[in-house]
Amino acid sequence: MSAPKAALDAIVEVLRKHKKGVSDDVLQKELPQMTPQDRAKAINDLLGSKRLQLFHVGTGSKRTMHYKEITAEEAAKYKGLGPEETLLYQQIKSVGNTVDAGGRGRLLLGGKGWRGVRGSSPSDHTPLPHPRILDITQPCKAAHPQKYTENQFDAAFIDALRDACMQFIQRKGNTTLREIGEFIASKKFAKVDLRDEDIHSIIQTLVYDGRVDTVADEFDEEDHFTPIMHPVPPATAFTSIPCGVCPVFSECRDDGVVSPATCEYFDKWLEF
Amino acid sequence: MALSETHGLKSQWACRLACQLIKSHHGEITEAVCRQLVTRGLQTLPDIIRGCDLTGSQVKQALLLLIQHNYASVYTQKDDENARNAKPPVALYEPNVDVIVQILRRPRILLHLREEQGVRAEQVGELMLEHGRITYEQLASAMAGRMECSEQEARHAARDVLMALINFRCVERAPPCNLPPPNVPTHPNATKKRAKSSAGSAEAAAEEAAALKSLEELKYSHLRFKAQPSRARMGTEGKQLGKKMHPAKSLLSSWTQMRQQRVKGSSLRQAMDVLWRLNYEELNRRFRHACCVRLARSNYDEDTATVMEAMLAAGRSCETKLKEERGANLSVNQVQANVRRIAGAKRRAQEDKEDESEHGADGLKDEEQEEQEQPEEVEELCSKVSSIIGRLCADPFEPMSYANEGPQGSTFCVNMSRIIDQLKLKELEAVARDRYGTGGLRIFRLLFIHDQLEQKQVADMSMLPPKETRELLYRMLQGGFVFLQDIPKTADRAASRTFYTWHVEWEPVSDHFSTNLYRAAGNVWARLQHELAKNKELLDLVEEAQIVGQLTFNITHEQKLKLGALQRTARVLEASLIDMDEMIALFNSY
Ligand code: SF4
Repeated sequence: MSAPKAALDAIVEVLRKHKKGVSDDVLQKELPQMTPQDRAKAINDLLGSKRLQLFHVGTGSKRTMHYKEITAEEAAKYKGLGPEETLLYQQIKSVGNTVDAGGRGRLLLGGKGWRGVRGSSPSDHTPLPHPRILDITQPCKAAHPQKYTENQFDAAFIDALRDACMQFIQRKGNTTLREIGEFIASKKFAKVDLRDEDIHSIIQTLVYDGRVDTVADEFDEEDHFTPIMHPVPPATAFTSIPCGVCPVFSECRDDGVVSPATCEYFDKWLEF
Repeated sequence: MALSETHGLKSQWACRLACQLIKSHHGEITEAVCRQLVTRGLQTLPDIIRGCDLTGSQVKQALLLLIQHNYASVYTQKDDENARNAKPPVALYEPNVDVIVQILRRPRILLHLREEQGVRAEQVGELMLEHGRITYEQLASAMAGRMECSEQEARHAARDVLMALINFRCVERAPPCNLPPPNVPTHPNATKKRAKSSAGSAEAAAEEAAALKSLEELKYSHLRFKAQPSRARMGTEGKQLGKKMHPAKSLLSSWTQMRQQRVKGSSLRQAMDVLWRLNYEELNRRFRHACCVRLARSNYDEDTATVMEAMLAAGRSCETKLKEERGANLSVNQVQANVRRIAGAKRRAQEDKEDESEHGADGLKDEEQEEQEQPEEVEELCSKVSSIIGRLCADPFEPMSYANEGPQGSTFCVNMSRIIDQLKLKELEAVARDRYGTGGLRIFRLLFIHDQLEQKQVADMSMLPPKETRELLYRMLQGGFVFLQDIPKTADRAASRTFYTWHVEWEPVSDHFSTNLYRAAGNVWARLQHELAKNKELLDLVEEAQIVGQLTFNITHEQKLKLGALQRTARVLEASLIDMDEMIALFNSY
């Protein structure tokens, strides 16, 4: 049997008053008329409907359980997760990237295709990648105000990180992975600390984009990153003409259905 | 280089462009002969006549025109005179597709001649492009027509410029028609594997004979850049010219003496009949060097570019082929001397230009004096030469490297092939980006760096969504930018038990792209011809008026607008072709 709606509303009201979360004792004080059984039933219902989040405060004997309301946006992230996975997600979130291996496979299985968690080290191809939480914070939202869907969610986050790394490398001229990591951590792009491997993977994409060079330094073992010395030219003669980017290039013949004389791409290009 | 290219065969798209250019410059009959030559390669006159459905005289006329413009070469195939049943010598004709497509490079050639040698050199270049092969006499009279001065002055000017261009190797003697045909190596797959022929055997003798240059070839290579036989017989002018020429006795002299012993009248006539033509190999070498200098300028700085330019210019005369891998080995002192020489030459050219614009006279100064009075910045640059060379050698890209210890200390050389490959790679990357977006560029570079990768690895490492990665990979496969390789785990090659890996192979990618360049240039040329044909009536009207000499003629407002639009269109298309030619040169000639 579910808890009465009045009890649920009363608890939510208290949680809204305490944005950082409340302990069971505070709830009891704020709602003296509610019996402990009703309170427990209401809390369970709220947990089940993903409107409530459980977390611990303090350590050792002073460790207490706290409750916090989940916003509608956050509730969307938990969609599709069972209570156990929800708790595991919350655990990863609270402790960063250290999570026991027992829950890892389950979470990934349950969370496959789910937009909140993904393998964090794409370059090492381990069968069970370490889970991490990609949490879009303000900079990404500002840049991408649209509603996110599956991969766009990750892409927006990675793009924001990539831009930040690029700007930092350009500013410094010659920098190391450690320095870039420190910069990213100081700017709090992610709610959790990103691992060196994650940042390295992102910088590698800048290398593949032809924007950054990796150089070995004779004085230390670390890889150094510099803005690319020989950048990709902004334009080429080949792609400045319609044929260079033509989707039917291989079908075009002088006497064919598609021909330079009847070419619409040229018609448009030569319209002054 | 692709095997087909080494064997003298050109891609069908290069041949198509060559035929298009010949058709619009020399008409349909010449194009038919050219088409027969480019499709069948080296062949005799009867073969050409049979292959192109034209009368014998038409084919001969067309062939003469092609040879005159250096678009075709002629060779003489002779059997060993001592052999039994020796056949009479036969002439073979071969197309020079490279020279034909360089019609597009003409504006660049003329600009280069003007910048390096002045306006007169540009005029000589123009005449040589117009006539293909030209004698000194013809050149002098054509110059007189252009220069609006006395014939004597024109002859002097023509002689000076011609001598300078020969000294710079930008002009060469046209090859005689008695050269043997080039030795085309058989494709390795077409020959049976045999044990290496033992020394002294008949096969070994045949191989040696093929490797040796014939007497005719030796004669030509000795004479190629020599003006002496002509000089000695240019009457009074010869004496004046003698001062400016290389005094060294060459290998040629013995041959010249032999000839002098023959009938003097006929040698005089022969010397005056020497045909000169532009040396495309040297001009392309200079453009290749200019590319290296441009890269040094954009990657490093102006000083590095000047040092690179000095090193390349110093070693230019030692280069025996166009696609030379490295420049000459030079010590720091030699580089410094060249930097001074180049700086002096540049300053003189600048002063000449200023003098010309101010007084219309040439203010030539004594070169020796100039060498001594180097401005401070040149000396400053000379003091930096050593550090610049050190920096370039230490650069991981290695545009320059240490060569060996010479009498003047350590010597260094420019890695030209490396620089050209780098330029090609960057162009290819830009094309990948423009065609497939930044994702395409990322995948291309990723595969270029890491080689064989599975599709999932590509998606993971490039941080692109798997679906987008798959689409891009297959589009790039179709475009010839990436390759797919299957590695079966079992002998039945079942797809489910096969690894599929993606990779980039530099040479096939570059070769495929270079043929695409010819194809695209051919499309632009075809479009230009289509636009001109569409407005033929209007163009005929304008041409007629020009022939009659009418400055103003009546055309309607609509026609005026049409003419303006056509001019703009033609300008855009022609400019695109000139730009495309730079890329064609980078991927095919350099
Ligand atoms: S001529 Fe037109 S259709 Fe043909 S390849 Fe060029 S752009 Fe494409």
